[in-house]
Amino acid sequence: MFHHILTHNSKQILNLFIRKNKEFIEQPIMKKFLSDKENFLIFCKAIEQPNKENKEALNLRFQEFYKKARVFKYLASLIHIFSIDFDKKHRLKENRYKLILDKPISSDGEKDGLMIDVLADKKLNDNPYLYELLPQENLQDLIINKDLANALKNLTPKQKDVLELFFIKGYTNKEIATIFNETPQNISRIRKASLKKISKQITVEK
Amino acid sequence: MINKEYEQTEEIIMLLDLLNPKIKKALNNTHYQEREDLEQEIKLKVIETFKKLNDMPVPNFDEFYAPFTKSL
Repeated sequence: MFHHILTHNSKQILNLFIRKNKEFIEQPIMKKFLSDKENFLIFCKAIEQPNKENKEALNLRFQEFYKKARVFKYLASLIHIFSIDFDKKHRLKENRYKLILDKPISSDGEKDGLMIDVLADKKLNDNPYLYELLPQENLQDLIINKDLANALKNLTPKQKDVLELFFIKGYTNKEIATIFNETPQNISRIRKASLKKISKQITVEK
Repeated sequence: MINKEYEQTEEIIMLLDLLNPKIKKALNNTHYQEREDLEQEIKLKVIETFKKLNDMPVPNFDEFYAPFTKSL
């Protein structure tokens, strides 16, 4: 890969080594190691002049590289597995110690619904006007950022509704889909497309 | 002695930066409410494991090359 920076003589010596050690050079670790310019130069130097100093330099350099690569790979896999375990443990705990609102009403499963659906909110009962205010919150009123507000104007009414229902009122894709008589997948597509449209417009303006 | 520990801390910081995309991706495996906790726990686990891994023996070039010369 870095052949062009070598002298003709060095190239010959290197090519000889490669021919004699084809399988070794093809190893993914060697490929990765040699893809770095410094590594490559140290490697070539040791091949051309295998004195103690050059060989030690190569050994040390390779060792550092190998360690970093192995550590990284191990940790990457650890992170993934750990997160899955973590989630499993949490789901177990969640189901075991359910919050009262998430518990089913009847003791034989969730047939009749959850507590959250039946319990009344005292605050709302005392202040009926509060309930009136909440549904009135729409997208435009809540946006302070000028660029964002401008970008919102370019959305279709449906896109705006989807964003509002999803982000402000916290409806799920399924619920929004039933409102508009669409599939949840389409709602998700609409939502993502509108966000992309907004972000495109904002970055262009910048 | 103190210098070595400082170096190791620097290395851990760099490693966490390098692994950040992997960590962010792993956060998708749990509820958004738990993500902050998970992120903290992952980083803790990474640091613990790194300290153990660092003492692992690793081959140098000659040792890695040796098995390939035998097959000639």
